Parts: sequence; structure tokens; C-alpha cells
Amino acid sequence: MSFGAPPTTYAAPVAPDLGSFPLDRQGTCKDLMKQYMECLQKNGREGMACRAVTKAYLECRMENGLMRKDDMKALGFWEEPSPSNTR
Amino acid sequence: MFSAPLSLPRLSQTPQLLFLSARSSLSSLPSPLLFPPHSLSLSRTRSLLSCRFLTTPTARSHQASSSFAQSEAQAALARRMDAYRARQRESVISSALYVASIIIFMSGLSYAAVPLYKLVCSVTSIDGTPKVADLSKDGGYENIRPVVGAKKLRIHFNADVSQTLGWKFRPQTREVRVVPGETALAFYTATNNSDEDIIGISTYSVVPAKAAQYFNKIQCFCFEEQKLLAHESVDMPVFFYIDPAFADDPWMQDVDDITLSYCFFKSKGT
Repeated sequence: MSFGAPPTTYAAPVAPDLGSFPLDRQGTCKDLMKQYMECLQKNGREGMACRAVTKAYLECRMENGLMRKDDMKALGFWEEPSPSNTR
Repeated sequence: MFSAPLSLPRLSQTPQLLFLSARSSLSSLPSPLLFPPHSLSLSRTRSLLSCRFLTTPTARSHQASSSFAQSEAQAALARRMDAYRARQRESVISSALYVASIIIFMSGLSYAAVPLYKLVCSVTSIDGTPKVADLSKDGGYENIRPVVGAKKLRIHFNADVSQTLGWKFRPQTREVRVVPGETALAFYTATNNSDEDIIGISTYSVVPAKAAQYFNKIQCFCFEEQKLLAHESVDMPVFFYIDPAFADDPWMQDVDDITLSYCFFKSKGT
């Protein structure tokens, strides 16, 4: 315990909130993964640009029982507020 | 008059006894240890009284009455001293009990310190302990929004694999640029190059250490055993976000790159 020391935070590894992804052995969502990779390549690794593909990938996982079904909004995919949001 | 007791005439013996009794009562007040009454006053009383008898010849009636008075005074003195000793013993016992209770209290406090500390730290978020977010209250990640105007962070991905594990483990996405509060996806690929099914388990670390508290993983593949069949290749995604509080933390102003590093080990189950 070091009260007064400069703040050095040691955060022990924490389990993910929703747990672990089951393995996609058949490669059902592999195409979407490739799409996501290409999207990232094109847009200079911008995460914001590829939200649609991310959403599609997660939906694919959910449909194939590779992820617990969750409302997309609950996963942080809010509705696009206005069409001015660029891809 | 009290300064030279031995030279006083016999009639004024009572003042001597008064002086001695007063002295004993005085000595019982603040520092009893300085004048041990038993050793000084009583013996002094005795010696003074014996001197009186030897040096000053008295009439028989006087002697009789004065000796009676003296023995009475002696008895009174003895009673007072007993009372004093009793009080002293009581005070010693009570202070011993106080000390014992303090010892017990402090040792109990040292046992209670661990859960108390955790409680205080998690509630007040002292010393960098992240506040535990109550996701069920917030209704999931709905309220996580990209922080407007925040600096873009580059998240790098690194993969390590243990020597004993015959897997090839690589990140597919080397780098993603996000803003705190934005959820993002990243991929790793693991290939089992051996001829048998192997179970692996992974752990992760985040560099820089001070940013680790803001790196929240929604879902990934760590801490659970993942079985890979022989010569199988699997994509493993990581779904994460950087906590929006990152943008408000002054200690994080110099952090532009965060590296998430996964390491796969062979699970003991195989």
C-alpha cells in the first residue's frame, strides 16, 4: 500500500465482461472477418469507419450460436443519429 | 515548627503525627512511587516515637495518654495506607485491563483491515482502483459513447505463444485506431500445427500499465480453455472499448498507443 506514491496502477488481468467467444471452427463468419480486415486496410485502421462490418460480424456470430444473443444497442452500437455520419 | 520535629516538647507530639499523616496522604496523591509510604513514613513514625520516649521524660499520665493516642494514630495511619494500597492495586488492574483491551482491539482491526481497505478503495477509487461499473444498472453498453473531440488512440495487438504449445498464434489486425468510448473488434488467428488436439489457455496484458484500468474487454477468448483440433486454424476475435473516463484523466494525456498482448499457454488439461 503506497499512499502518497505517484499513481502507478497495477491492474490485474480481468475476465471479459461477457465472457469468452466460442471458437468458430467451421469458419462461418470468416468472410465477414475478411471484409472487416479489408475495411480497416482501406480506411487507415480507423475503427469508426468499419462499424457496419463489425455489427454484421457480431450478428453473424449471434445467428450461428457463436455468441450470446444481445441487443446490438446493448453492445454499444447506437443508432446512427444522422446521415451525416460518414462511413 | 515542622522543620525540627525531634526538638519539640512532648505535648506537641500530635502535630508530628499530624505532619506525618498529612505527608502520607499527600504522597498518595500524584506520584505514589516517589514516596513509598510504607518504607518511609511508618518507620519514621516509629523511630520518632521511640526517640520521643527515650529523650523526653514524661509524667506517667501523660505517657499513658500519649501512647494511647500514638497507637490510635498508628492504627489510623495503617488503615489509610491499606486503603491507599488497595486503591493503587485497583488502578493498576484497571490500567492493565485498558491496555489489554487496546491490544485486542488493534489485533482485531488488523484482521478487519483487508476487507475494509478493499471496500474503501472500491467506493472512493483511491490510488487508481477502478470503480466497478454496474453494467446491469446501465443496461449494458448503451451509455458507452465515443467521447467527442477526444484524442485518437492507436491500439496495437501483439501475440505470444508458449514454447510448449505447438500453435502458431498471430494477430490479424495489427493496429486499430479508436477514440475512448468506441467499441472495436480485432482478430487473432491460431493454428494448431501438431497432430493432436491441444487445449490452450490465454492471458493478456496491457501496456502502458497505467492505461490498463481503462481497457475494457467486452468479449474475447482469454481465461477459458480453447481446444484446437489437430491442424485446425481458428479466428479469435476480441471485442473491446476504451473507457470514456480515459479522456478525462490527466495522467493519460501522454498515452497515444496502447498495446494489447495475448499469450497462449498449454492448459494442464491436455
